Amino acid sequence: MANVIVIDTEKCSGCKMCEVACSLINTKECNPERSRIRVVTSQKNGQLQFVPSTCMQCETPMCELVCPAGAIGSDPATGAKIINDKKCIGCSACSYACPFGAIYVDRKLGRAVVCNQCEGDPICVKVCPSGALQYVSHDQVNITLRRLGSKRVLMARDMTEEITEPHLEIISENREPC
Amino acid sequence: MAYMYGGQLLKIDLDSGKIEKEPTSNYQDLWLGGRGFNARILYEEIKKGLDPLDPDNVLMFSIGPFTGTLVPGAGRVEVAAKSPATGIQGMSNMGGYWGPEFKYAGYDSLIITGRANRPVYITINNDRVEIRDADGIWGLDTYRTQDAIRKELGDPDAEVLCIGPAGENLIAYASVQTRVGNAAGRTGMGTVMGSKNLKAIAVRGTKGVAVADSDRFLKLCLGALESQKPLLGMAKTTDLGDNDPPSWASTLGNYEATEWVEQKNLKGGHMPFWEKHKNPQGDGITGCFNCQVRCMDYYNLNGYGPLVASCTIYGGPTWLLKNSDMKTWYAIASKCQRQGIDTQSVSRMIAWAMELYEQRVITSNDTDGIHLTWGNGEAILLLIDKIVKQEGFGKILAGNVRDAGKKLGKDIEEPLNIKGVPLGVTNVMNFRARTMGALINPRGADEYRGRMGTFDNLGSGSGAGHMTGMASPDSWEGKTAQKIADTAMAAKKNAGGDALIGQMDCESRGELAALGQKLITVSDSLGQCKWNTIFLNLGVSIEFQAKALSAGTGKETRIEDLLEAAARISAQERAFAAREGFTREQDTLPGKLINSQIPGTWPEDKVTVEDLEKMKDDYYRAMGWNLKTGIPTVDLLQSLKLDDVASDFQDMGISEKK
Amino acid sequence: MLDTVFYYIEDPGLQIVFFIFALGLSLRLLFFIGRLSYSEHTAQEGNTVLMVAFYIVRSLVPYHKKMVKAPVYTILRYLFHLCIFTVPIWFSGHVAMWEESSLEWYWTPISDGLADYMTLAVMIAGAWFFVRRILIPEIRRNSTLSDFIIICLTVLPFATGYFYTHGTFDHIEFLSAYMWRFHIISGEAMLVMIFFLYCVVRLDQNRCVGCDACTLSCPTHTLESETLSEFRVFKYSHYQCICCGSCVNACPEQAAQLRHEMGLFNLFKIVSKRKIRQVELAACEQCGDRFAPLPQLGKLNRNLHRDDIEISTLNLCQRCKKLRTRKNDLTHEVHGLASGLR
Repeated sequence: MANVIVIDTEKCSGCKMCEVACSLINTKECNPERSRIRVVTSQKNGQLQFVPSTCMQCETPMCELVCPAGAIGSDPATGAKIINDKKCIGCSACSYACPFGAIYVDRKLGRAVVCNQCEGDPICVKVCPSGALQYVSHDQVNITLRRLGSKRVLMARDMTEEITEPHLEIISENREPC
Repeated sequence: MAYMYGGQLLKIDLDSGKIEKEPTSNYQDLWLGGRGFNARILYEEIKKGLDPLDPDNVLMFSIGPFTGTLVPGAGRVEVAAKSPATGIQGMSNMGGYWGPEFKYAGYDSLIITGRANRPVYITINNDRVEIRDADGIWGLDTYRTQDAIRKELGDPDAEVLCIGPAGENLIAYASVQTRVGNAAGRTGMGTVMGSKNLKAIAVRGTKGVAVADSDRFLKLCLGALESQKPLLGMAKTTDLGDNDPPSWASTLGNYEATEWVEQKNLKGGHMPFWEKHKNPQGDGITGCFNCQVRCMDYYNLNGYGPLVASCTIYGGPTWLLKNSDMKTWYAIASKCQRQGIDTQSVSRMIAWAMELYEQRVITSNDTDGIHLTWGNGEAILLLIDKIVKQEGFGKILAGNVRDAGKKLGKDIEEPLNIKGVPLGVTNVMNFRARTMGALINPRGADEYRGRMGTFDNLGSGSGAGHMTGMASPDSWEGKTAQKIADTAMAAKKNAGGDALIGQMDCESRGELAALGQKLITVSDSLGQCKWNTIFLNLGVSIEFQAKALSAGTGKETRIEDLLEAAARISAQERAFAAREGFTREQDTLPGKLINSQIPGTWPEDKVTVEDLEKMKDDYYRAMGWNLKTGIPTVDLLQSLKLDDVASDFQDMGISEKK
Repeated sequence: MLDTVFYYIEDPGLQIVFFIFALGLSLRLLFFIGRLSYSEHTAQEGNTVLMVAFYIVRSLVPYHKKMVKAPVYTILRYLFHLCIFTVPIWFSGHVAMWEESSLEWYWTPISDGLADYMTLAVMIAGAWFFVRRILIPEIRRNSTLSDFIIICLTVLPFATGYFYTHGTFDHIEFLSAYMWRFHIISGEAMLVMIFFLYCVVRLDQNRCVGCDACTLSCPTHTLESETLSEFRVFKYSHYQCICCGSCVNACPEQAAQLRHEMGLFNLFKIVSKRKIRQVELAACEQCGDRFAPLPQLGKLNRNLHRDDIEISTLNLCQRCKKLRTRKNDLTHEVHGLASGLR
C-alpha cells in the first residue's frame, strides 16, 4: 500500500518549484514539460488558478490494466507505481486511460514516465513553499483529508464517496472503485 | 550542448519582418546574460543622439543562465532600450513566468528593432517565430490582452508580456506587464514598445534547460533554498504588517509616511485589508517562477476584480497622494496594472500636480475642472484616465517629467526626478546609503541598483533589523563589506571623529555603493531575483551564484569572474551614458532635496553638495573611473577587454588615462 | 538473330551488369552513410558508424524482427537469404568462371552437393513464399504485384541454374539449348533488380492505430510522425532506414512490417520523406484540443468494454483531466480558452 502525496490545490501559489525540482532530479534538465507533477495554470482577466496534480497511486490502476506490454508495476519498497523501461514501447495507452492525466510518454525517452515518489522522499513535497503538497502515509490519509476539508482537497488513492464524486463508472458490480 | 543557456539570440526587425538567430556563445563569456547582454548590444546597435521613440531604437528582453532553473528566484527578465525619460540606457527588471518560458523555447535574448507599420504582436513557439496582426487586441488592457492572445493561439499555457493603452499612447512612463502583477515599470520601456507598434510578445517553450553537473547543481540549489527558509518572513510584504509602524511605510523608510499613516489610523498598514479581501487561491499570496519568497499579495475585492500587489505598488497611491482609503488604493493600483503605467511615476506626477493645486499655483482652470485635493480618490482615477489618453491636463502629466513644469507655462519646478525618471516612493534622503544608491543608479529613478539593503548600517554599531544590519556576516559579501566599513571607520577615527558610522554619515558609502552595484549587476545578469539574494537578508550569496553557475555550465566560474563581468557591464552602461554626454555632473539629486531637512531627521543630517561630491569621489575611485569626469578610464576599459569603447572615447575626446 | 542477342547479353552483358551492380551498391552505401551522418537526429545521438555497424552485425543472426512472434517464418526467411547470398558466390561453376576471366580471382567453392541442397532450399522456400502470399488473406491484402515479381526474379536464376546443371528439362529441345542463356539473363535481371531493391517499413492501415510506438523506437528517426492540423501524419523514407526492425518489435498491433520494395528512382530520393499513414486525432470533449489518435481511443474503449469497464475521461485531454480534480467556477470559464487547434 503506497504512501500518498496529498494535494491541497487551493494552497498552491503557482511557483512551479515542484515541476523544476522533479524534472531536474529525474531528467537532469530543468523542464516542467518533463516533470511528473504538473501545475495546471489558468488565467482569466486577472484571476489565477493553480491545480497541481500527479499520480494518485490508484488501488486499481487503469494504466496497468491497458498497458499492452505489461510494463507498469509497483515498487516493492514504497508501493508507488513504476514503469519497466525495457518493456515499455511508448504507445501512450496508459496516458489516455489515466483519469487524472498523471502518466504520459516522455518524447525524449520514448517511454512512459510517472511519479515514483522519489523512492520514498518526494522532492516536490520538500521544496513546496506553500504547504500545498504533503507526503502522508497510507493509514494517515483519511485523517489528513478530513482535516483539510474534503471539498478543497484532491484525492487519495482509494477514492471514497465523501471525498469527491466517483469519476469512474464501473459497469460490473464486482469491481472495486478506483 | 548549451548548458544553462537557451543558446540563441533572437533578432526581429519590425520594419522588414526579418527574423534572425545568432548563437549566444558569442556573448556569454564576457557578458553573462540578462543585463550584461543588454548593455553590450545596446551600445553596439544604437547610434549616439538617437531619439528614443525613433524606430531605430533597440528594445531588448534578456534572461540569464539562471532563468528557468532551480536557483531560488530564477524567473527574471531584464528589459532595456534607450529610455525616452533619461536619454541614456533605460532598464527595468520583470518577474513572473515569461522569462523561463523564453529560455525553454531556446533563447537568451530578444532584440527588437524597427517599427511595424500596423499594430502587431510576436509569437514564439520553440523554433517557430511569427509576427502577427494585433488589430483585435490593440486598445485592450493588459489582462485582457493576455487572455485574448492565449485564446487566439489556442494555448492556455502561453506566457505573454504586453503593453496597455498607456504604452500604445506613448505616455512617458508606460510599463511592460505580464500576468497579473509583474511589471517592468521604470524608465519607460513600455513607451518604447508602443513606439514600435508592438502590443505583446507571447512565448511557449518545451525544450527545457540542460544542466552540466545536475547532481551538484541540485544539491546547491536545495541547500540555498533550505538556507532561506528561516529568513523568509523578512521579505514578504504580507508579514511586514506585523511591524510597528506600519509595513510599507517602514519598508520604504518614510518617517513622514509613518506619521501620516498613524494619523489616519492605518495601523497595521494594509494587513487588515488584505486579511479581509485576500484571494483564496494560494491563501492570498503569490509570487514568481521558482521562488519560495512569494512576496506578492493576491487580492480579490468584490466589484473591483483581482489584483496582485508587490511592495512597490503600495506607497505611491497611498502616502504620496495622501490617500488613506484602501479601496481607492486598490482601484488606482488595478488601473495602473491594467493600463500599463508605472505606478510610482504616475503617483509622483499626480502628487506634484496636487501640491501645485493645493498651493494654488494652478487652479481648476488648468486641471480641466478636476479638484486635485490631497487624497481625492475620484480625482486621481479621473486624472489617470486622462493621462492614459493624453487628454487635456493629462497630456501635460503624461509627457517627459522635465517638460512638465515648462508646459504649464509658468515658472514651475519640475517634479522630483532623478536623471529624468520620476522619483520613486522610497525616501532616498532618509539615510545616506539610500542617498548614495539613488545618486549613482545607472538608470536614475531610485536606489535599487546602487544600494544593498544589508550594507546600510555597517559600522553603525546597531543590531540587525529588517533591511538593516548584516544577516550573513560570514558570507563573501559580509566579509568584504565589513572590511570596507572597518577601513572607513579607522579613517574616521584618525580624522578625529568617533569611530562609528551613523546612518547619516558619508564615510564608506561610495565604496559600498560600488560593491553593491556590482553585486546587483551580477544578479540582474544571471537572471536571479535580487530579492532572493543578500540584497535583502535572504542569505543567498555570490558564493552560491559562482558555484551554481559552475555546476550548471560545467565551466568553472569564480566570484572574481562574476565581479569582473559586473565591472565590465557597469563600465559599458556608463559608456552608453558618456556617449550621450553624461559626466559626473549628471550624477546628482533634485535641488529641492539637497540642503533641505527631511521630516524625521535632525538639522545636521542635511546632505550638502560637498557630501554628495565626496561620496561620488569614493564611488568613482572604487569603480576605477576617472574622478574628474566620472567616466571609465582607458586603463580600466582595456583591462576589461573593452578596447572598442576606449577608442570610441578617444574619438569623442572624452578619453582619460586614469 | 536470337543467338546474336544472347551473345551480347553474355558478353559484354555480364561485365556491364556486374559493373552496374558493383557501382550501384557502392553508390547506395555511400549515399546511405552520408545521409545518415547528416541527419540532425543521429548526429545528436552519437556515433553513426558504430550504430549502423551494430545493426548490420545483429542482422547476421536471426534474432530480431519477428523471431518471437513468428519463429518458423523468421528461420525460413533467414535461411532463404543465406542461401541466396552463398550459392552465387561459392558455387564451383561460378568460381571457375571468375578464375577463367581476366580478373583471375579464385576462392574455395562449396561442394556441389551442398550447392544443390541450398538451391533446392531457395526454390522450395520461394515457392512457399509465393503460394502463402496468394492463399493467406491478410498477407494477400497487403501485397502488391511488385512483391510477386521480386520472388519470381529471385527464384528464377536458382531454378534455371539447377535445371541447367541437372539437365532437368533437357528432353525439351528448346529448353535444353537455351536453359543456360535463360540462367544468365535471369541472373542479370536479379542483379539489376537488387540494385533497385529496398527494404522498407510499411504500416498495415487496417491494424495501425496511430499510437507512435514505432516512431519513438526508431533509432535513426527515419520513421517520424508530425501533427498537421487535426491529423497525425507518419513519414518515412528508405534512405535513412537501417532495417533494424525496432519498429516491428515495438508495434503493439503488429502493424509495422519490413518489406521488400522496388524503387526505380529511389537512389536519388534522398531529401524528402513520404507520408505512409495518416490518422485523425480526436478532439478533447472539454477544450477541443486534438490530443489522441481516434483509432487508438476506439480500440482502447472496445478492449475495456470487453472487461466491463468504462473510463469516463477517455475523451478528455491531459490538461482537462488534471483540471477535473478541482471544481470551481474558473475551471469551467477557462475551458473556453483552449478551443481550436494549437
